[in-house]
Amino acid sequence: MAQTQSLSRADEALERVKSALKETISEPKVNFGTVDLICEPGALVGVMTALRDSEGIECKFFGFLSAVDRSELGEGGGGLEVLIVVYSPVHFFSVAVHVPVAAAAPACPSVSGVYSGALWHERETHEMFGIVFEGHPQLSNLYLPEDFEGHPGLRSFKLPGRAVKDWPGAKDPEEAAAGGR
Amino acid sequence: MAKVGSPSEERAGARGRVPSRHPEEGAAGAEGRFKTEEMILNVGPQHPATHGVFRLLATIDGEVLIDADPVIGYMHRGYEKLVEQRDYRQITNLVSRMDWLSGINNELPLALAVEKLMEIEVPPRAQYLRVILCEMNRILNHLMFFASFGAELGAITPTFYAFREREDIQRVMEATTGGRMHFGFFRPGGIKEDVPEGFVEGALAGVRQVIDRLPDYENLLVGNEIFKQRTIDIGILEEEAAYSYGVSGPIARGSGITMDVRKDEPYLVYDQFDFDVQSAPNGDCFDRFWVLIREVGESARIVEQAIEGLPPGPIMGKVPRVIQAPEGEVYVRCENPLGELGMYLVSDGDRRPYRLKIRTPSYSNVSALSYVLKNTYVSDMIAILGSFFFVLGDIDR
Amino acid sequence: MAVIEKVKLPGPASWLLNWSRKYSLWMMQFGLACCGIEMGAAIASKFDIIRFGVIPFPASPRQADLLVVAGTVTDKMAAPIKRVYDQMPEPKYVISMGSCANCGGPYWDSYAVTKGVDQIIPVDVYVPGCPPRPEALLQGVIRLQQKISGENPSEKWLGHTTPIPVIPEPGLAGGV
Repeated sequence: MAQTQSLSRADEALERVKSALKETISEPKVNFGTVDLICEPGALVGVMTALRDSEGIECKFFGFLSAVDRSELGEGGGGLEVLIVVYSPVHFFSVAVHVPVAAAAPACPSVSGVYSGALWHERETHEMFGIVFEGHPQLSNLYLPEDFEGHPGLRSFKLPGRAVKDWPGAKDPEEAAAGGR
Repeated sequence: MAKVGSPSEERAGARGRVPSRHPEEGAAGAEGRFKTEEMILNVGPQHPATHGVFRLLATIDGEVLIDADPVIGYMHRGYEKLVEQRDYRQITNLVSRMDWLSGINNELPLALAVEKLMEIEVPPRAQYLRVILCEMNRILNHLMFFASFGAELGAITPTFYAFREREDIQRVMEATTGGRMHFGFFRPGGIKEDVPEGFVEGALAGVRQVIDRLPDYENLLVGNEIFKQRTIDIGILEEEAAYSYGVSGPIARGSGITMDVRKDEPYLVYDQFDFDVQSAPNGDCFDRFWVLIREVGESARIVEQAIEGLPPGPIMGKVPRVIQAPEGEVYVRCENPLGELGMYLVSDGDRRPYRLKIRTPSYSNVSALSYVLKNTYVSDMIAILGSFFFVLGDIDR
Repeated sequence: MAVIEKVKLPGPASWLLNWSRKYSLWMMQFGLACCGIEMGAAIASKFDIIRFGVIPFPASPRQADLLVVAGTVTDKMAAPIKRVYDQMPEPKYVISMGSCANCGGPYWDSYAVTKGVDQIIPVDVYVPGCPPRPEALLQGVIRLQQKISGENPSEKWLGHTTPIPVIPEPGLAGGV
């Protein structure tokens, strides 16, 4: 019951988001009750401001900002993308904004001017994925020591412990007993 | 929709005190004052008031904190990387250790995310039991902060009261799940096993005891003049700032926000219970604590109702032998005791998640600390830190 | 102090010293993670660690005899732990509480976690569990007391005979 309610809510929200943002976004859809859209880095700050301030959307609550490294996902894979989720405490729906960034020199404008909460999330994403957030006041490491090498969030970063012993491959106990692990 | 209470009665008795926020222009060397110099005060990482290893670099000028920069990462274990190397059964046990005060609540969004992707129907009995266990865990968590906040303000008695109650509820949880803190009890599709004999009686006795004793506890701190003096109008977080920083849970609701995922986007069977979202308008330490302590009562109410309506039946839905989420992406939000816990699951059809972004409540909550601490007094620092109810493992992951 | 280090104590004097030391251990709690909560439970009313002559909440590590490292030790945290240990006066003891402090526990393959606090400081008693129950910590304390009662005080006063390993630089567990 509650599930269907939130789904119809998201459908209505999708229409409002579409009409408010028009061409600045692409592929808007509803994914499990969350409004999903893709936005180019250049338009990001404008889109986030519109999401926060537009009537009928009012996504004032900052959910999170992170990144997804899609380079090993499926056949064609994909690149690096910044993922921002905000929530509307007035109309009760979430919006997930996917921002594809170049894998070679990943950069994205900072949204910390729109959502103060992004300050820490961008620092985290910077150290985990190596994405540079232009306009961020202090893009230093949050978790790791400054001399830490590599970006652990990327798929290409292999855990030292796993380099010695890979993830156990057996699905079932029988399979493990038969040979694998 | 959400009913809002108000702590105005309790606040009324408090005497006036010095302003909590220093006027900004007077911070450094104004006319007719002592000439003071800025200095940096390092708090932590090992400090009894920081619930773990939290470090604060405070720039102070005389008695005024002009800048406070939290330094975190002392408990960073790399969860988001580790989960990519583990299958869903293993992750259940891993995320349980993320926020060690609310283990079972952490397992929930993972189970929900996998269930959504795999389209598993969870039987009602499992849903009810999930609600009961989650709310009991919420009581445990809140009692812990009741204890620690009192201790930080110099009152050690609440610690001993709270731990006594915690042990009673913890015993029921332990009899059910086998763990005192880390339960590993929620599986995609349901729960690990049915509750043992005596669970209903034990749980009811536990929460009724809490309900009975709650007024005493509330009085112990909320009715205490020293406590009021140290918390009222201290560390104010405005509503807009709370939204902008992504502050959620009791800390946000202490700023007049009525956001609660259990009410707004009900998951499990939360829409079948009668409970109020506690909220207080002033956004200071007192209101945050007031909301926290009131939520204990609401959780106890939910447990009572859920036990009353606990249906018989299976506790596990139809799940394949190997949990393998199909390709797709899903974002699940749950109301953790400390705020909104979200998990963004990207699956490529493997037994392991391709990427699992964990949005932890304490992380966003604490990011607002430097804003709140600015231009407050040094003597209020610990009260403000304590009123943010954070768990280090939840911040650092 | 000085006398104890130089002369060999007669048996009864050693026994008396050890006996009095083992029931007045000031415990410096280094609660890092989940185990810290169970350590708190061990101190609180139900389990009451003071029964065993362990006194919690010392004012500073300089007044403590026993360091309980309870929880996950990360590479970033290693240096502060070493510093706290160094601040404690001899004779001092360390209990490593929980799988993480023992060997890395569930984070054995993490890039940020130190796999075992014994890489940084010498450990006397390991308490296994994730997290160990408060009773397990109490058992660890009893084992430590047994260890203390068999000690030669003059050796202990001189400090550790085996050299303490050099603290690993931050970032050791980085990527390959």
